[in-house]
Amino acid sequence: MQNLSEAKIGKTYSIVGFDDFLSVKVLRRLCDLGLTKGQKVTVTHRSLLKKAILFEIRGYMLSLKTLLAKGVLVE
Amino acid sequence: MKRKISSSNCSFFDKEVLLVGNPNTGKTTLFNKLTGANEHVGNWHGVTVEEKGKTFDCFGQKIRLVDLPGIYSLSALSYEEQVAIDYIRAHPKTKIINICDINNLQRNLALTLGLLEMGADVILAVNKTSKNPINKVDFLGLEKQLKIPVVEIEANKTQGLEKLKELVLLPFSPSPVPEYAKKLTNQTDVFSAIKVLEHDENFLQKNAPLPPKSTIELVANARYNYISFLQKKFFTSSQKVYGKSKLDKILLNRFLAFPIFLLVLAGIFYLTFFSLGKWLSDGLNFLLDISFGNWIEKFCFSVFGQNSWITHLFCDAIIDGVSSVLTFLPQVALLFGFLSILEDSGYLSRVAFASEDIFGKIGLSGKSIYTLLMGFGCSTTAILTARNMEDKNSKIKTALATTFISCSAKFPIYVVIGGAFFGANNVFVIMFLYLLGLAAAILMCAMLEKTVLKSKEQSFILEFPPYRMVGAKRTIKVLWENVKQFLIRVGSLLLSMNVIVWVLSNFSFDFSFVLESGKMSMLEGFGKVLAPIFVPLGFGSYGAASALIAGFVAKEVILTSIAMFNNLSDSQSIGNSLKDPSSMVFFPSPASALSFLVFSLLYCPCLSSAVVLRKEVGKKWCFVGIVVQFVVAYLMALLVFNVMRGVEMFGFWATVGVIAAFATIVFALFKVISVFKKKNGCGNCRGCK
Repeated sequence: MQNLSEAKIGKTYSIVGFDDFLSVKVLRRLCDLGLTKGQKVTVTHRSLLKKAILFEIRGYMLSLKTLLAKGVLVE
Repeated sequence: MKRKISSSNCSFFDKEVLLVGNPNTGKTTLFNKLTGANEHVGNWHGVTVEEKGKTFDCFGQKIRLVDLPGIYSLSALSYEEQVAIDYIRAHPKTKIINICDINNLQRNLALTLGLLEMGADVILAVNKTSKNPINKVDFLGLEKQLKIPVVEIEANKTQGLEKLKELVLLPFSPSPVPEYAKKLTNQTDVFSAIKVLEHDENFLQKNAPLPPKSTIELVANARYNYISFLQKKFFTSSQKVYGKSKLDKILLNRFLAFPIFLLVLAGIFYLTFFSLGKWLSDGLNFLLDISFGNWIEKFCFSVFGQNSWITHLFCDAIIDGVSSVLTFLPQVALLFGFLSILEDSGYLSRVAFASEDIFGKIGLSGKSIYTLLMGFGCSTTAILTARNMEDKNSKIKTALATTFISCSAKFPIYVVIGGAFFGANNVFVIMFLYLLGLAAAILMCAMLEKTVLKSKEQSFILEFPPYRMVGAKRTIKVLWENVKQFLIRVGSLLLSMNVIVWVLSNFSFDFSFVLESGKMSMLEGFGKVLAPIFVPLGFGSYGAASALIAGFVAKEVILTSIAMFNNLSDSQSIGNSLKDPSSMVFFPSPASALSFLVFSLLYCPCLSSAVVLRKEVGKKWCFVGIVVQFVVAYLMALLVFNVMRGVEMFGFWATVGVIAAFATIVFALFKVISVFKKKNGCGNCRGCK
């Protein structure tokens, strides 16, 4: 198990849970956006200093601050 | 130039209908189509940041349609979302048109389910259906399953709008609450119970036990499981991913992304200021000069006589003042046109992604780049978009930073004054000023982040829209809209401001006409009190000081006042007059001209920006922002003036040497301080621990 920020580009992972450090508000938003357990994600890009990460989920593209991606556990 | 900030329509209406949907699904497009309004749209999530209402005729009934900012669910994260959710909550017995993007139906339906849980009366309008959508949907089946009316629309055209209008007229009746939601809660008030499970602050009771955090996931799973069920039954999806594009291989390349963005910006500024825009502007200048100006002048001479105050009012305030800015019409319109193309293309989300590296560090978010870019057009409307921020302090910082950005009202000043003193090198002066504005904005944010306005929970969660070709028709429409707004602004605000400044500069305190009585004008009186403040900056004439005061109302007024004071209308001769010691506004050297430009760029927000700023960030931070701006402007102008004077007196390299030495000393000092801080103080006392 690792978190989304460590995911390899181009590889597909599935979400297994969320780290406790995510605030209620952010967790709720990620859930609203369709990041639910078992959901497939594929990372496609990182920014220059790796502060942001871009991935496919549920048929659309979503970008996240890497700090938040650390709270999304995948395998 | 401003877009309409709000257009409340207080006239009588029979019924209200809300437009609700995810960001960037076409709510405002539909709003414009139905009501004939002309609200701003773009390919970015969060263009609409406040509610906008307008009545339209729907088969004889007056319906007030309310366009709301886009939301993902009924719990807000950013400020514009809060606006939408508050409005929905305050109008429970109102019909809702829920717009969904067919290409991203899964996630869009999550909001639909949220609305159904609330017991709203929902019409589901599925948008963007005409252009080979990613999902093919069995609309009838979906309608039967959800038990709400489902309409297939294309808001850009008129497809499906008639059917939508018919549905709007039906009386209010709450849509059925989905079964999964009832099972989830076992309570009569399903919506409140679900919101408690979701830990929504507005629904949690003070003393009631908090459910575990995992219930948030529970609710989302229930919703998305239901959506998966719907998808299996009623959609056929192609494997395409919405918003994914091969262009991103280059435009989002880790190393190329930022350079490409800078290149795009440079291209826009080059086209606006130096090639296309300049030709158009010169052409307009020529036309204005030979027709409009001369004609009014001759007319006044013959009717009122050469020395009457009416002739002076027309010639000075109207011809000289207004036409000095009017010639910049093509350039301003072009700049806004380019910004809108940038916004429509979908490229800005990519820029925001790449800028997260920088902006995250100073407590903003990549999304701030949108606000700052819009600031190149008009800071008043740009400040409002700071509502895209999730964190309160980030919002304040973004809004304050925007006021430093060089807006379209400021560049005529650079072109005229800079052009006179720097000639062909003015390209670099203008570039320097734009970069200085940006640098000042970033520095201020960095300082605020380190001191009083640390961002606590700024997140960056941004959905990527697909790239979109920007059509010629839409571009022309945007350009025309901007030309119109510019003319209105010149004709109303700038003209009336000019008349005020003219009266102040031509009448003495006992209201006698200065040219006849020879007394001191009111403006001279005020200006002379303030002028000494600017002596260290190199422009101590009372004319320059008065122009800056008048410029608080609108930045163009700085230029129109100078044109009026020096009695000239075309930019070439205004420029030359600035070098002439006998004119009212006079700069003794290029150093003082540049210092004036730097000061005009930074010194304060214009009146309308200040009003919006106060509304958005509160009295205290608005005041702090303005004071900081003035201080920064003063210090920067002082620095630029003295460095430039150094170059003039001692030569370029000597000055560079002195600055480098000075910078090294400051840098060394900072280093020493940080070393001491790291080692828990210097060891002489225990104070630092």
